[in-house]
Amino acid sequence: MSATTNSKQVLGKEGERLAEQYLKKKGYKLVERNYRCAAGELDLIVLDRRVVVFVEVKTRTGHGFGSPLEAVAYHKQQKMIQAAQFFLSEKRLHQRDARFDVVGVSWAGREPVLEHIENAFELA
Amino acid sequence: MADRQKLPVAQPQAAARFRAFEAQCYERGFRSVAGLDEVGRGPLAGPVVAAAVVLPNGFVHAEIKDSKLLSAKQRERLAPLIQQQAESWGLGIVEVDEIDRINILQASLLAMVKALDALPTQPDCLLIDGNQPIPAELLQSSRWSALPSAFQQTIVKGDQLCLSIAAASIVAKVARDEMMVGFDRQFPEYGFAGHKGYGSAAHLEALHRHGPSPIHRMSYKPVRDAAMGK
Repeated sequence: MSATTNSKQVLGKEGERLAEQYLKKKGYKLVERNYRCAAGELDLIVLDRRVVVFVEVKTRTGHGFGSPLEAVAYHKQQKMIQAAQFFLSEKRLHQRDARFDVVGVSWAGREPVLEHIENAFELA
Repeated sequence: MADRQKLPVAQPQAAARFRAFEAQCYERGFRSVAGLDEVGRGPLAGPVVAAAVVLPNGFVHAEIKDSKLLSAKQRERLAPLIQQQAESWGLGIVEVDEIDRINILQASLLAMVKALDALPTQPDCLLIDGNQPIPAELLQSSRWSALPSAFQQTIVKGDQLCLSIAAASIVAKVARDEMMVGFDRQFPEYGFAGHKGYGSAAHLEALHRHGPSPIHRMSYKPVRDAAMGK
């Protein structure tokens, strides 16, 4: 693996950590980090009071254009929805309200900049 | 896309035969052929899970066959491979409360529609395991507007005869098994990780000793009997 990939991965991990910290500060409760199941993967699962929130963390390194939301392609959304349904079913939370958020972490400047988009897309 | 056509030529006959249904459908002009299968009709507990798998035209794989002939280990290795190499795949889950409400046949057909809804594009041809086509009114509940007019072919023992259905059955089985292992952690007294909800002697005994859990299907007689202390 190239050094670029590695540093990208490091930034990605750091972005996930920052996003988690940010959401906790907002009062959300962490349920799972890097959830993996037969239906796919989810970066963060948190509780906003009773609402189950599935969070995709989008790390951006350059000055590229487009919002972090645009970076979550439609196909990826479908995969997230499947993993989320699997999670809700497995944890018997399918009666709960759930939503998808995106947290963008931009490393373009000196300090990382976080952007939180609630209800980025709908559960099915 | 064109180089995919080379693939079947080099394959042994059996593999080519295993994708005869798909080949026929693509020859007839369908553009997206989805194999559909469901697991979990028989168990006394847990959801019914369906998978839809659209394989690339010309795709063959020697190891993909009837999921019942494969070991759990083989299935667990093949499922991610199918998910990676498929054009698309989708999972549909129907929960226990809904199974109890609408009955298991309707629930498994609904799971298939949900699996189709989870695909990123809508298929125009459905290869379905068993002998029950998906009823029009269920297809109308799909998010895909043209799904009710999709061509449906039911194939009895499809998981043994048709590549896409076999692939779907592997994906569905692995997903459901994983879910039952998750339930085992929540309700350790029933042994869900072992029997996966099916009515084994050990399961029935645990059911009688502890009564039904929240994931048991109350519409199933052995579960009701256990609930009444019979």
